[in-house]
Amino acid sequence: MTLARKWCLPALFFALGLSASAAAFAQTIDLNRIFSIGRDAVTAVAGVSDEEELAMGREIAGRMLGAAPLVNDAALQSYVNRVGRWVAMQSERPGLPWRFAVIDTASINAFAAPGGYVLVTRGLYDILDNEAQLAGVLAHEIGHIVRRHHVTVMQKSAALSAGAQLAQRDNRSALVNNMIGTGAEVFARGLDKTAEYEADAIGVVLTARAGYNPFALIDVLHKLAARGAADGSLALLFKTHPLPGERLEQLGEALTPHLARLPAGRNLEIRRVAAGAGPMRAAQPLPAEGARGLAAQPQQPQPQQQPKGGSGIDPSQLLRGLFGR
Amino acid sequence: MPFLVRKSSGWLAAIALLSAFAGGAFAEPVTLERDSAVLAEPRAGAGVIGNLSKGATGDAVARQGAWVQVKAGAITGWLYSFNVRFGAVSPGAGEGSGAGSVLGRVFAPRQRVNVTATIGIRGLEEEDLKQARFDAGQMQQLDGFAATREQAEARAATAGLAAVQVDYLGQPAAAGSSEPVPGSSQ
Repeated sequence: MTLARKWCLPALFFALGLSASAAAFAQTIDLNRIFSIGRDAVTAVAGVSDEEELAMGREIAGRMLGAAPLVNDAALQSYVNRVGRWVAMQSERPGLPWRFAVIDTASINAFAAPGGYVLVTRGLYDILDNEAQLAGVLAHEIGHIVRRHHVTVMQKSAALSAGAQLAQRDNRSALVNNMIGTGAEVFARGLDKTAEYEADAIGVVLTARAGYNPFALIDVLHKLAARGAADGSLALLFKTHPLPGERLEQLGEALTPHLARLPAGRNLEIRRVAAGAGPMRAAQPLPAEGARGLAAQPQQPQPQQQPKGGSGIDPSQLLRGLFGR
Repeated sequence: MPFLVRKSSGWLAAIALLSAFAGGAFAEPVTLERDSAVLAEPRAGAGVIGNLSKGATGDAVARQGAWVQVKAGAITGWLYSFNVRFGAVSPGAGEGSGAGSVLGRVFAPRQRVNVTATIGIRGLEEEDLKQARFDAGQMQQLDGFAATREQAEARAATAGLAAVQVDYLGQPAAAGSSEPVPGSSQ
């Protein structure tokens, strides 16, 4: 374990491309108290286990649903899960507990949280022409999750603020919260814009593997580019994320050399949201859950309000949007 | 009369087929993103039947994969879809969804809803999301809709979908590179 600890820290910083001074600072940090390191090579490099990734993702998704609930159309939600799971099965992580949903907001966006949570807004869903476009949107999000883009960014920011985490090292849940919370800073700075382009390229391939028209995601990007910055439903997307036109440029360059080997695929008719469907309500109140489950000791009930400027989870900047980083 | 009805139905069927082929919106205005060759067929290496300059406009009348069939003046041919942007005017804030364009007409009712709802979707703005609380009830509902592998496979089979072997593309080209794309005449 000691070896793993010694090896992992510089490896982590090398992988993240941080400065030498930052690495030197971090050498005083016992990362093994922050992450469960050394379970296997992949976990050691990633620094976060699947279990931890799932717990963080669940917390983030749960908060997102607290802001924008599910659309109250059970048949639609089941449909989206079947389409999404089928696409996810074509990825390197088919066994994650994948969850897909359409959330009740007119905003146009889609989000992925670690561990297999993919949320598409109703605003985006309603402008899709066919099932292949839905698959393309989901495949882009699946790409983020498969490549653990969010986890990498969270690790980076957590390492940067590891000094603060040391103060909380006896409370694993707080550490995880802090890691997620500080990740927001990195998202705000937008350090890994290329992750979006990578997810686009992965999305095209997963869509093709699932038997759909691989160019459907490109059609969606064209739709967004055509709607323009004046569209209020795109405000959040355009404020924090690469413009669709830039993504089309990048995707075009990535795709062009491989055009001939992409199959035509199918479009298929998309299931529409049931007329009059509003937000879904829970049948009864349930106890809160999420990242608190990581804690070694009993935790207090879910706080009713996030401490301002504290280590709370910030889903707005953690969820990796279809058009976000 | 029966003949006329039958003829009319045929037209409608043809239009419906073409619409489906086009992937939705019909005769959308497009603007050339770069100088491009207009091809006779929707494939790389097809014969060049004309050229359009960056900023030229036309109407997209059909789509096929990565290709868009565009009618621009006397020329009708296929353009690589990455070479065009949909919308009648040059890139800028919101023009593509203006009420005067076909897209504007298509999306106008929905867009008005969206704009109105912007006030109501403050929950998705960054600051408001920070206040969002974990909703265990919603998560339980979410879990209940999850699909197993078997369910996903069965549904795909019913829809006529079969898994295809396709390798990843590799890393996207670095920003700023300008590799020529099919049909590009620059």
